[in-house]
Amino acid sequence: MKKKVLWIALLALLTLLPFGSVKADGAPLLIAPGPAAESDKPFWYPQDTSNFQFFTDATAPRVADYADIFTDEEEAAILQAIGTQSARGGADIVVVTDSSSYGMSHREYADDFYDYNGYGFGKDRDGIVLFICMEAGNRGWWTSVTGRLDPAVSSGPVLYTETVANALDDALYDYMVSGRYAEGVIDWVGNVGTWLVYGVPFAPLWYPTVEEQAVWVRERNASAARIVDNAGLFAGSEASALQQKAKDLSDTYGVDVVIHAAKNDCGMGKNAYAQAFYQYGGYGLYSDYSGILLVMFGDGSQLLYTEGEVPSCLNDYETVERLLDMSGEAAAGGAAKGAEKYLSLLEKALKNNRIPHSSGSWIMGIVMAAVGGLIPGAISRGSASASMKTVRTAFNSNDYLVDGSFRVNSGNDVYVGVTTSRAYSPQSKSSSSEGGSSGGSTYSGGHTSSSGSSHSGSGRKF
Amino acid sequence: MANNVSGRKCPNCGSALRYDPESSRLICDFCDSGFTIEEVDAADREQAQQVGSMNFTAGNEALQNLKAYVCSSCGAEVVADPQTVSLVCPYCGSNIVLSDKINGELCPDGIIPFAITPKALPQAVRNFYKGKKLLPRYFFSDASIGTVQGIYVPFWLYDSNPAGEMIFNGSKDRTYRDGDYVVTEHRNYELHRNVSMSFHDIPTDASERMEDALMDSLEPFDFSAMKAFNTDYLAGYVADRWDKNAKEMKARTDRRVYNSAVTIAMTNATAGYSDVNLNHRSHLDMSNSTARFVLLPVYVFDIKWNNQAYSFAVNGQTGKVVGTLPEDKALKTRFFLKWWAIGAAVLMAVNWLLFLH
Repeated sequence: MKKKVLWIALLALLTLLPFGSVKADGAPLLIAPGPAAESDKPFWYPQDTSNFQFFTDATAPRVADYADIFTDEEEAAILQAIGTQSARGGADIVVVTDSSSYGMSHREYADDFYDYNGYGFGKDRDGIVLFICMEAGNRGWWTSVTGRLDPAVSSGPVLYTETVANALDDALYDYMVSGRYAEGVIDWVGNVGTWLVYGVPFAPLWYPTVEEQAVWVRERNASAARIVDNAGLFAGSEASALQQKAKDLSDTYGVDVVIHAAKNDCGMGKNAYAQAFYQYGGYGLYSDYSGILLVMFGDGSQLLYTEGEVPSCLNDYETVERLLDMSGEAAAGGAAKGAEKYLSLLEKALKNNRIPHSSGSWIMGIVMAAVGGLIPGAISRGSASASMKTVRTAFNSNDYLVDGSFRVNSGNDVYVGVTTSRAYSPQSKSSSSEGGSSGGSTYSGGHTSSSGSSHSGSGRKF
Repeated sequence: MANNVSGRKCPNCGSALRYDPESSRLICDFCDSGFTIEEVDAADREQAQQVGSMNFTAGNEALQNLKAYVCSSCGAEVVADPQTVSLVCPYCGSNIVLSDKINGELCPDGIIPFAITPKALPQAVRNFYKGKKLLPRYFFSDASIGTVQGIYVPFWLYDSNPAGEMIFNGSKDRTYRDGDYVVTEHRNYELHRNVSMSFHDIPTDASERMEDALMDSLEPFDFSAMKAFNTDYLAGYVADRWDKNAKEMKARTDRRVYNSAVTIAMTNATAGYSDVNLNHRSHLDMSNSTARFVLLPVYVFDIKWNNQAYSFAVNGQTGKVVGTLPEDKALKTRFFLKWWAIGAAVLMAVNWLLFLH
């Protein structure tokens, strides 16, 4: 078995003195699993945290594989990826694995590891750490961000929001559960780099960098294609026909009509993706950039995005749902069919400010009304029948009770025992509880670690 | 065997008198005179001094319990069953009261005179029909009402004083959470209550000929209008004597009293407990009760429809009408379809406004 910890410690001692030196407060630095390993805290944990002063250590190892889940080659590849993406994104990227969390939560371990070992760039210690815990029964990971990446303390363009967290964790999850740890971490590092540069984890090609976004000025691109197929849903001829139809509608009704097929939302959230595509793509007519964008995602979902002056019916949730449902149903016969149906319905909306219902909806409505009508029919008939019955045997003599004659002359309450019934009713979980295995991360925004530093982060079990 | 027959005659012309509920007077329809009971009594006494009391001879008793009486007015022989104490002579229309049947324990302790005239019945019946959507149209014709008979129906009025120990099972509950479970704890008790109460004037039909449920349905009567019995109230009406004695009918009355006693005790003596129900070990002494015999005014008539007779009864004091009503199948179907169509139309309109618009 490899002695990774010892190897890293030796390497650190041989390379840079500060790395193996002591912190400002005299606490021992990491990569020295000596006597402290026998305590209830990891060896890198300060003996005394009461006087801890934050510091940055550029030489601290960016991969600390205490759980020994990477080969040397994998570790080197991860380090290389980290070096590339850190330089590209301007924030520290750290990966730590351990076979135990030492009684701490994954979040606490990640936060403390980052804080107590001098990670982070700049005075705000900008950076992100991925802690992978391999402890039996407690396997999982936690990603913690600090400084300008933390939405709790920063309003910058690159923030670790819940949407970003879910996107990064979703991508990592499959690797983790299948044991492809190094592959997953390298992919994660790449996604983090993209996120640091673009503000989104999986920026599409047309997406501007954070710097470009800062100086971006919105303007119409008259030559932009109205049918943009990044998911390969339309054949060439189909795209051409759709393009012509979209152009005709745009010209006739004075509103930009655009259809975009995308594989996914690039971790931005579907609304944000649609808005970014529309705005960065230079779509929209007139000064208010009036236009209607349909985004058809690879998972079969659709989203309608509008800007400027459009028919009011397209601002009605129910109407838009109906529009998308009907075009979605048509898409079962092919994406182009769905797009054609959409354009056909959209033309009616532009012309009449309403979306007609499908014949199926009408039939369903009539059937439901007919069935529902049985209820008042039956109740009324029952009520009418009941009113016909006027002859009844007297059941009681309440009307003949002499006023004030009721007396309770004595009473005695005898306890005979207790019975209990139990009904299963799970309590609702708070948003900060541990997350599920795949559907969503546990996200924590703006918590304070034991060192007093603010972090945000997310994690999952696997 | 001689039978005493009491038929009141007009002091002016000697025609038969009838009791008029509206004016509470005895009316002569022949000479259009009206008299109070006291006035007729005085005239009778005067006449008796002149011609002596009238005797009537019992007729042929061959038909088992039937008895024959001779009308004091026209001399015709009429037959009455054992329960009848008042009838109308079918030949001359005179009112005949069979006085021999209302002596001793058969003599009523009171009577509520008719307050509703037969003329008012069609309107009362029309009011009764209101809201009866499934009633065949034929019933709405006044002509459908056959012969209406005013009957003084014998009733027992019971005063009952139940008392005893009633035992109820009840619980005091509390609910609390235990992890992912909601636990309800029931602390169970037996509630022993010594109770007593009194019921007054519970009417129970004492006539075999009258359907019990039909008579029950005529309640309530206003017993404050009860009069001391006088045969003059019977003039113009049929009257029966009781043929189910007070002891026989007590069990039926006791059931009503017991049901009320349980409800009243449970409502008033178990506060603070939930899921209260009666323990079978309860004991309520029902023996402390008395009964008195009264005559209550009831109109009865039948309506024939589809070869079947439907019986109706009218409370002769309040005008309340009850009866077994048939349902017209065609009306029933139409009624259902009408409301089904309305319901479906409303749902469709709502559907259109909310979803299909």
